[in-house]
Amino acid sequence: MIASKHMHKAASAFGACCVLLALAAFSSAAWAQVGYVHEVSGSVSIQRVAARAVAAKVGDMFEAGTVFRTGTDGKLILKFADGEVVALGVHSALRVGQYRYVANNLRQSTSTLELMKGEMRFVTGSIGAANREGVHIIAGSSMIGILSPGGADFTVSVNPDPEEVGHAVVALGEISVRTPYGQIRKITAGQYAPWQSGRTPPRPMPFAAAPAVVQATAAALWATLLPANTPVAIAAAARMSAETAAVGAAMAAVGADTGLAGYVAEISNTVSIQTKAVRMATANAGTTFEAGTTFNTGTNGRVVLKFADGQLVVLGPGSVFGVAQYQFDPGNAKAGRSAINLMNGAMRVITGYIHAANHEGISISAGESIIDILNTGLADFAVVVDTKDQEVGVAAVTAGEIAVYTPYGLIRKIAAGEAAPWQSGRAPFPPQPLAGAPAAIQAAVAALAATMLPENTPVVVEIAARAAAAVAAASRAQAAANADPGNAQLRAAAQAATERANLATQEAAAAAQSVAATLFATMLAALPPAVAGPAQAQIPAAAATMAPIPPAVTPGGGGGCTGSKC
Amino acid sequence: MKPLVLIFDAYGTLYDVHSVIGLCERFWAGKGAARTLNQRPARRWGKAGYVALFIVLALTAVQCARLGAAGLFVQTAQFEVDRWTSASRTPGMAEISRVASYFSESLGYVPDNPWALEGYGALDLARMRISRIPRQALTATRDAHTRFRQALLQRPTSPFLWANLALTKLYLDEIDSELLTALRHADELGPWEPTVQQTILFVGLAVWQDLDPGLRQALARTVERGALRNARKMFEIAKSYSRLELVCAIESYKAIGGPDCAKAAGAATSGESMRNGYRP
Repeated sequence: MIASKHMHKAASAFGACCVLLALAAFSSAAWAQVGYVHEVSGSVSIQRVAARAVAAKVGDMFEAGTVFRTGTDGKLILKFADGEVVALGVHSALRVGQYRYVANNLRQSTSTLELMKGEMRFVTGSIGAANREGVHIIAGSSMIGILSPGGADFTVSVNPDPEEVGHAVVALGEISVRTPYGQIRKITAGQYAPWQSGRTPPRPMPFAAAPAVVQATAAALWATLLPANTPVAIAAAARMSAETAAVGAAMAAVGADTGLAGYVAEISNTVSIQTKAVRMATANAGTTFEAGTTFNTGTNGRVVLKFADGQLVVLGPGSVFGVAQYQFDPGNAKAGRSAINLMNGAMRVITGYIHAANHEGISISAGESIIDILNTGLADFAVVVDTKDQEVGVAAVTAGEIAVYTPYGLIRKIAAGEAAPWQSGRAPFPPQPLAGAPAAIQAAVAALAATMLPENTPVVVEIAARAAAAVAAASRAQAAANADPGNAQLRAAAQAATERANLATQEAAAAAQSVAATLFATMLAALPPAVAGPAQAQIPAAAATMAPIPPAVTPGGGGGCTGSKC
Repeated sequence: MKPLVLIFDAYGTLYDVHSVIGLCERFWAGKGAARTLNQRPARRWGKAGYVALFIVLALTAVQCARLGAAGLFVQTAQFEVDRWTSASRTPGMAEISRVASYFSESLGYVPDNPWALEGYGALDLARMRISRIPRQALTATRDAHTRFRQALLQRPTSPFLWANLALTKLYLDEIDSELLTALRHADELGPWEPTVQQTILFVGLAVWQDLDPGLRQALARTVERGALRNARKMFEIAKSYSRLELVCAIESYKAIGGPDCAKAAGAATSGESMRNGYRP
């Protein structure tokens, strides 16, 4: 009897355990994190399954069944594991439906989203690109299907009360919409299609013919800078977004301009740095600097400095270099200023955005000599000066044209592929082809040119510096792992460091894109179209396939008609 | 016989005046000259006339100066707008605001200047196009609508104004009789104006479902006329609406969009256009 009781208890305990295990397994499957909040502004709430709504914040991860609601000033960007991106507009509600992402079996992957009301921009990820039947977008009572094989990028807006009214605008790819009032078979890139009760949906029309409100809403969503639609590891990406947001908040707290001029992009051997605040320290990859900083590369150090506007400076061994003045605001690039000084040694300079926007804003000196960049486009040149006794120097130009005001006279123009030396006691030599210059000069210039450089595009210094530090750390970890191939711990550490570096690089690229978008927006008005480059970075070109019809005013103006009927 | 009254048209030469005096002397001896001179305007009214004339001239000069200033501001604004248009450049909000101030100045001098109202309305539409705030975009479009309507009161025969009014109504999402009337007037008043043809086709295709058979016929005729001077742009508009069946039957369009037309012919299905009253 007692044995039977024990048996019964054991069986009950075993059963309970099984139920608990099953529940745990179910809950982990049902509540698996499917994406994260990439960006939030204004009032946005997140309501997880069987939980109360709370304010959403950047880095929040979410699972299937989560509902997001934005207020009248709220905006939200979500990114899913497969790279799918959703930007939710104001006064909207979105429910994340069933989501299953199997990276190596996209045919088995599905994604379901339900826009209950409001507006959203949707960009397909790898599920939509490889298995478009697996993506289900519901907007009110309408169903959106993706027709184009590579995925799509579109905005959809729906207002279910009192009777459903909605529209879709396609930026890339093709979609179809099954509305309660009829089917819209195909909406192609650059087209707009509305639906409303009581009438058959009209044929899609060019976006330029859409009502003013629709054009403004879609333009606002297109102008939003979205993360790349590539697959991500949710937890790491969420953490990185949260950290970036924290940096942004900190930067905003101290004012938009942090005063940072640039960062150390690459470094080899020992390079010392002296800032206003720190007497002398060793620079590392990712070390940031501001105006007033001096670098000393010692006997064998080399360093690549990247400035906020994209300007690059490479310093060779035995160089002393100072940043006298630096100011760069992407919103007002024309007011940018950069004053740098090579006190001794070898330096290569590649101009950045300040030079492109404000030729007069650049000041470069080498020893007692002043270098003037003559061309307005890219300039890439090297200068070597020895100021120990009487100044001796040489300048070699790879791209662009420069003039050098030496203590011994003016070198009027050194063109690309030319070099010109100067020394005391005689007028500067006229420029000559670099190939014909003395071997020592060629070697010095070649040493500076051999360095792999980052792009000379503007960056957000804080974020780019972190990426540079992460890349350097990954490189060190990889070297350590390679040195001891049998050490699994080192291998794992190297892999983790590489992942961190990749994420940091992605974040830096996204931040740089945002700077570029700001620059384009401010420069487009001032520059002729030929040099303005691509328009707003995030507005898909396809949306502008049909240029709007500009209103043509009555020719002849007021001739004889002013104030009278004519 | 002695006449009671002698009326003589003495307007003109000195000879005629003397003839009249001589004639008067014959009938009323010794009084001929006096009677004739009595009919001349009194000298004391001459001064008042000059003053009145001066006032009229001064007022006219002031009015001319106001019209001139108003025209100058509009001319300056229009010059900037033309510069954007010719460069196919989207103006920034700051530029639009600057040009808007020229139009405002002009309307300050002559409030109902249709030239300024029309240009200002066109500028409002440019403002709408670059706005990313729905309420702001709607306000700009409403302003454009008001200005085009005001301008039409002064210049009701301008097909450009009617076409712009139709375009504005489309952007307001108000597909009503005003839009259809504007389309009709634009078509009637400016059948051969290329930009009017483009706007009619652009708006007409957007509201195709709401067009009556007469307007659809008018649109078809616009497409035919557009083929002569304006074919490329008209073809682009039809293509953007995926309505190539409207244009591909016409040789000029077929020459422009050969492959597109061939594709459209392959995909042609329902004959809907015929049912809806359109006869190519």
